[in-house]
Amino acid sequence: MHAWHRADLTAAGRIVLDDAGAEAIARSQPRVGLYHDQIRLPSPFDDGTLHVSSHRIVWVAAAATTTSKIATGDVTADAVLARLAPASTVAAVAIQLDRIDRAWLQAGFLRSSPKITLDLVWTDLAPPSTGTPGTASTTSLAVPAAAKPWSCAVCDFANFGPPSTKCARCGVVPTPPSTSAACPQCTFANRASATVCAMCAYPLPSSSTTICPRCTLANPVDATKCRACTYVLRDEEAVMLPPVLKTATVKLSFRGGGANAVYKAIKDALQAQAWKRVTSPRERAVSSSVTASRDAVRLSPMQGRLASPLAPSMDMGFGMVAPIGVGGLVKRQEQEQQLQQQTLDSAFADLDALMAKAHDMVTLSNAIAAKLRARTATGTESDEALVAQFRSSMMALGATAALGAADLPSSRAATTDDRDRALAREVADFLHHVFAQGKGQGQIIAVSDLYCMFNRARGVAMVSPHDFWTAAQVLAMLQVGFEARTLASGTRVVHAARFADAALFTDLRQWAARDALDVATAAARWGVAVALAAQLLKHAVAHGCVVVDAPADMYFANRFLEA
Amino acid sequence: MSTNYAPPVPFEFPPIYSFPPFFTLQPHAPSRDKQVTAWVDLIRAYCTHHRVYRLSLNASILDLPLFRNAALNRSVSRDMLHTLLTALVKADLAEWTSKSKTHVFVYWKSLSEWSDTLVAWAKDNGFANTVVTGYEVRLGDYVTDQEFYAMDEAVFAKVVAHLDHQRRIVMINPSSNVDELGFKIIG
Amino acid sequence: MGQGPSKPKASAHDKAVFELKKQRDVLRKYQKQLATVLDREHAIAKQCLAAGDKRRALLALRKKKYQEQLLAKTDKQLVTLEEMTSTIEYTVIEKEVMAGLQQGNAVLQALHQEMSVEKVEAILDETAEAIAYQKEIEELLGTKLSEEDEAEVEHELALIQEEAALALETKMPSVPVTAPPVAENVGVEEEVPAVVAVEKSKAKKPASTLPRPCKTSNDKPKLRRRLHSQCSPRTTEFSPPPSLLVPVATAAAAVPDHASSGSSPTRTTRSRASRSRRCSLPRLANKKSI
Repeated sequence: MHAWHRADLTAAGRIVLDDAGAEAIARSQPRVGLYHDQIRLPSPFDDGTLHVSSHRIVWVAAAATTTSKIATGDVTADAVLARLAPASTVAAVAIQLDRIDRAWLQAGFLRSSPKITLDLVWTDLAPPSTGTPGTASTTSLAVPAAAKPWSCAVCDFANFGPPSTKCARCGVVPTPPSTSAACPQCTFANRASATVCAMCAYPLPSSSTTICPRCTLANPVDATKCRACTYVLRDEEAVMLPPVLKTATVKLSFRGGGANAVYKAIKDALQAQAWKRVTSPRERAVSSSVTASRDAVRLSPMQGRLASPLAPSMDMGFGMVAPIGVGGLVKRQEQEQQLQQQTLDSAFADLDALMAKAHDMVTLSNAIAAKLRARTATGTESDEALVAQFRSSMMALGATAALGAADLPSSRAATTDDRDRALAREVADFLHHVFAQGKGQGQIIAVSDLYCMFNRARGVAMVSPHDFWTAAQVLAMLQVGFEARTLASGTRVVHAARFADAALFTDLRQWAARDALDVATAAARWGVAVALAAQLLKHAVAHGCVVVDAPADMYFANRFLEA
Repeated sequence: MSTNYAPPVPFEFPPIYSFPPFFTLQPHAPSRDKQVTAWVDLIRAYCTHHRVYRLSLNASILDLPLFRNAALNRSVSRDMLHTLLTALVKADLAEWTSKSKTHVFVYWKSLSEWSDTLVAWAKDNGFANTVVTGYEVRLGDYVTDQEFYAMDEAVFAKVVAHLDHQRRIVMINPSSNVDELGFKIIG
Repeated sequence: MGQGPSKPKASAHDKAVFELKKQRDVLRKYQKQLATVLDREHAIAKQCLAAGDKRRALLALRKKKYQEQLLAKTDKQLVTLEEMTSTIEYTVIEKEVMAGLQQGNAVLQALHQEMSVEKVEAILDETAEAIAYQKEIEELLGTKLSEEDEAEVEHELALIQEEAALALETKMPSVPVTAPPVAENVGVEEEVPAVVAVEKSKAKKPASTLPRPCKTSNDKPKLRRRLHSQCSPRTTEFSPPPSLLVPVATAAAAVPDHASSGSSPTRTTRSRASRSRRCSLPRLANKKSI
């Protein structure tokens, strides 16, 4: 019995298509829910995107499974479903189209949404399910042989009866399976014990090998995929949904509409039966390039398109013809365009994947940071060590935003890490250079000017303004002779020791004692900008070093305090 | 200013008066305190010399030689003047006329000092224990050489009230018109 | 009202004085006003004259004249008022003086009532009795010392006085030979103070023999005795010029001898006349000295 099996998704959540078989998505429809035999399956199986491809029907859940238990009421069903959809991943299940007998559509009525029912066909290509615990249960729950349909060799009808009786449709009694093993290639009836066909020397299937039905390679028995053509030989985790006593049906509920289109697509796909056709390489290449569906990805390594679940469907005819003539030219142009598009998309795919990863990481770090913040002081020492380690690593990564202001250490000296200090030393060296050259004339310079000069000097490896200012503030601690300061007006300056408060005031007092100052003279004398000189003088007035005569903007020695 | 007293000797300004920053209120707090103190002393000296009883925050006051140094072309601003008057009031050298704080009475001599002066004059000149009128004491012919000659009416009324409060006079005719006040200084 | 001593209330005449003063003030103000008007009119007159408007100038001057008259009237009224106020004040003072006198009188009368004449006399009598009693007690105590002892003591005293006089004699100036032309009565009086003065200055007076001022009339005999004892030793050493002695003697002869009893032998050597004279001398001297 075949049923849903797990479909592979890429890391970005796209379906992995079978490249060799030129599988292409014909139609995608969101908001589709799955039913298991009249039981509406709960989340996450109730909302997903259905993709009809040329080889199978794939259903991708819309949301990642959050709960580890999915309860349907049926214990075995729960176990199965749990395996199909492990927590924190997106469930994706698929049915091979060749398992489907027929499909029919039920239109929506009143409150029920339109549904497509798929009758499943029993074939004898059921892969042996070994090794997984689920299969053990399935074997115990395996349908008794009597209920298992056998297909008539003449009319291909699925008979439900013992194989020895007549076929219901054509009345032919099937020959019992002979003791001889028919060679898959030339159908010569070999003896049962033969390993190689006597006629064509094709390796006969035995208990130790599995012949791939498409390329006839003899694979080892436990291979899931053929090594040559990657045809799915056996579902590793083929889990049987619990046996249905009536018929094996799969129901799809279309809660977002689009049932008709999907039905048509399924019909077309069933009709086309692309899985049976061996496609030529050319066709494959064409179909692979033409298919612009963005929610599927080829298995070939060069491709890495991103999947968007709501990609518009490309209704391309499965009966493709080699493009010739004007149409061919146009098509070729289109192909080239789309090839370019693909290249671009692939170029960004990595970035998107990285971003997704980074997003995961940031979420993780935020969560941890939140936990850190909630942590009280009663944590044990080991906890504190861990916390400190975490914090330092976060800071090393630069994810200080995740830490939040509360977590950032309060005392500068304890936590100015080496990076700040190293940067500060670099800035100090640069300052030496600047002041020596006379660009900062007078050994005081605004931080914004210095920042621009510094970054220009650095070239490519620039620093952020915040980092620069942090490093500047560390300068004073390093005692290299420079100091960063914020003046009263908010201007930030870096200056040499000459402009430190004590030295500045002494100089001013001596000067003011001789004659009155004004801003222009002060600027000329100190070699600074006039505005800066004005601010420095204002600063001096605010500290009582000199007194100001407002109407003329002159500065005198402070006679008030001397008297 | 409400009196037309012309002092015989011109007022001598202290040297700080010629210091231009003196006319700008300094932002540095200790300097500002010293500056305001210097201003208070200067105002007091000036008012004593010129017998100024009132100062008001109007436009014309900024033209007083006290507040404007023509030689330096500097004058006190209105805000600074308000600060100075407030400091004057705080130093008990002045009193706001009304709640609106636009005028002050300048007590270059305090009310007690005025009371003592009046009583001393009365005793020395034989006006003790005799009935005198407000007009007589303030503008009479016998007081032309006294310090309190032509004192501002309101200030005089306050002095008399103070004396009354100190029980150093007997009020004979309390009147709102200062000139019609009648009292007897007990001596 | 319980909040301290109540203020002295304004009396009625205070109010009257005040009213007068108020009127005086009014007049004074009016005078000042007139004075300014006068000045103004004068100035106007000048202006008008300068402008050539004689009529107007005259008018201004007339106004000025009228107001000057008013001024004069007000002056007179002022004077009247002033007079009135002064009178009132003076009267007030007079009244106060009267009141003071009255009070003094009353006090004096009260004092007199306490102090009657009879009482005073009684007190004086009592005092005299007490003094006499005291004297008796003294005499009783004093008689323990015998008469001979008294004589010896007096003799010793005389000896000391002689020694003192001897010492003095060497320093004495020469006695004039001729007698100065002197009238009797005048001379007595003139010489008495001279003699007394000389006597007094030459002798070194022991403190106990200084003449005491006479307190009561009963002390007079005692005093006289004392003075006698003073006078006599001196005169024995020092023999005044006969010229001096003679007029004195003649004057003193008329004076009755008030020599007291119990005189010493030294005293009896003197002539009566000289003694009496000397007695009169001390009496006069007594008076003078007292």
